[in-house]
Amino acid sequence: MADTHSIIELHDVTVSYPYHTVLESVTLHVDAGQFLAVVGPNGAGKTTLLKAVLGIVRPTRGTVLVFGKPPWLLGRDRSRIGYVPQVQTVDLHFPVTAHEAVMMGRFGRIGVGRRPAREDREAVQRAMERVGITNLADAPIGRLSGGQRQRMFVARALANEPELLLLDEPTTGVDIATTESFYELLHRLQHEGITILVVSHDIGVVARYSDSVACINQRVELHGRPEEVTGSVLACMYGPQAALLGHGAVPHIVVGEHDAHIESAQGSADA
Amino acid sequence: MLEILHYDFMQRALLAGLIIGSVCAVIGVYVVLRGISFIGAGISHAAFGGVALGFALGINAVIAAVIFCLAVSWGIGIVSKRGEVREDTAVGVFFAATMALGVLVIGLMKGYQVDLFGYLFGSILAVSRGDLIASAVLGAVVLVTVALLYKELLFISFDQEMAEVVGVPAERIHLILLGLIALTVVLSMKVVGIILVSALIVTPAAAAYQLTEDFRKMMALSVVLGVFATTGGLLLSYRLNTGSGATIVLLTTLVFLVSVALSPRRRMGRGVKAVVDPIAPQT
Repeated sequence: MADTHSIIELHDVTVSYPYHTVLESVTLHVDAGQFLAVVGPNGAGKTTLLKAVLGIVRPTRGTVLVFGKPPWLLGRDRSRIGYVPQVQTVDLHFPVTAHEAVMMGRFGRIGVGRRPAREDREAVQRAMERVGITNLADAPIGRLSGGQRQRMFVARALANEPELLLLDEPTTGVDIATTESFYELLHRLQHEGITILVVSHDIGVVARYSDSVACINQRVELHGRPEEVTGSVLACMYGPQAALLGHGAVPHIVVGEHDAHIESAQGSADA
Repeated sequence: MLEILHYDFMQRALLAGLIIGSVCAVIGVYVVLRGISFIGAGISHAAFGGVALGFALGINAVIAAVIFCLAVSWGIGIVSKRGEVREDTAVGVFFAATMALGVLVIGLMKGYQVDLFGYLFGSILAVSRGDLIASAVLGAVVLVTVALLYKELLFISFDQEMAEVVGVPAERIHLILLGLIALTVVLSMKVVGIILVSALIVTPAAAAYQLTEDFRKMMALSVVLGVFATTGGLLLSYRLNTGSGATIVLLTTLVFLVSVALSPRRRMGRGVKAVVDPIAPQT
C-alpha cells in the first residue's frame, strides 16, 4: 500500500436487523484503480454491502469509510460515487428518453427548483459517449435492449464523473455476448482511472475481468486474486455441503448443476 | 344545450371541473408512474373522517379535511418508512379506520343532517362560491409545487433509491407528493366525491400512459383527458340527471378502455419484469 490508498475501507462491519444478521464482521479494502468483484450466493448480503458503502444502510457495528469518511457524511463528495442499481427495481417502460434518464444522475448536483444548465448537458453527452449510446439519446427507455439499458444506467452513474463505480448484478437477464461486451466496457472504464466494485453471482465472467474477487456469505469467506480463489469460490457460493465436496478430490463436479449438486454433495459425504 | 351554461351552479361546477380535471390529471401522472394508486384511494377515504370531524367540531369541512388528509398521508408515509409496516398494509389499516371514524362521528351527532351522499359521491349542485375559491387556491398550491419540484418528482417516480443516492432529498419529496395527493383529494371532493376521486386521479394518467412514451406528452394528454372527463361528465350528468361523480368516473373509465385498445403493443411486457426485451431493435 505504498503508492495506493484505499477508496473503500470496511472494518469489522456488521449489519443486523432485529431477526437476522446480513453482514458479519466484514473487513474489506478497495484501492484506487482496483476492479473488485464481490460474489456470493443469494441473500449473502452483497446488495447490503453496496448500500453500506453508499451510506444508505448504516452498520450496526464496525466502520465504513469511503474516500476517508463515513459515506453518510460525504456531502457533496457523494457525487464521487456512481451507482448502478439492480435493473429489476424500475419500470422499464417509464416514459423518459435515454438522455432524460441519464440527466437524472445530475439532479442532486443541479438542486431543487433549478433546470439543467449547459455543463449538465455536456456531462450527460460525455457520459453517453463513454458507454457508446449517443445514438440512442432520444430513444424511449422502453425501446432499449437489455444491454443498451444497462449501458444507459452506467451512463447515468457516470454523469457525475465519479471516481468510484458500484454496480449491483449489472448483467442479470442479458445474454452472454452482451455480458462480455458489458464487462469490456467496465474494463475500459477502469483503465480510464475509475475504481470499480461489482456485485455479481456470475463468477465465470467476473473472474476474467477483475483484479480481485471477494466471496461473501454474511462474512468474507475468501478474498484474493481471481486465479487464487476460483476453485474455492464454488464452495463459498454453494454452501457448506459444496464446501465438503470442494475440499475433496474433485471440486469441479459442482459446476453447472446448482440444484443437483447439493444432494450429490451429501451423497458423497455419506459414502 | 348551451342554455345550461346560464345557470350559476353549472358555471361554478364546470369551472370546478376544469380545475379538478387538470389537477387530478397532473398528480395522477406521478401516482401512476410511482405505482401508488392504493395510497391515493387510502388518502381519499381519509377525507371522510376529516369532513365528519369538521362538522362535529364546527370547523369548515375543507379545512378539516385538508388537515386530516395531510395527517393521514404523512402518517402512512412515516409509519411505512420505518420499515416495520409495509406501505400497502399501512394504507389498508388507515383506509378503513378513517372511514369508520367518520361514520362514528356522524352517528354521534344526533339530529344533524349532513349531505353525506354529496360528499361521498359528488354533487353537481354542491359547488358554492367558497368551494370554487377553495378548489382554485388548493389547485394553485398543487400545481406550483409540482412545477418547482418537477425534476425531483420525476426522479423519485422513476427510481427513488437512485434519487437518494445522488443527493435528491427523496424521502421528503415523497412526503410532499403524499401531501399533494391529499390536497388534490380535498379540492375534488365536492364535485367527484370522496369515494370516487381516486379513480379520477389514476384513470386519465393511466390512459395517457398507454398512449405515449414521452413524459411531457403523458402529462399533457392526461390533463386533456381529465378535463374532458370532468366537464363532459358534468354536462352528461345534468342531461341524464345522474350523479356527477359517478358520471365523470365512468366517462374517464371509458376513455381508459379506449386508450388501452388503441395502445401500441409495446405495453404488453409491462408488469412482467422483462428479462429479454423482445421488441427493441438491436443496434
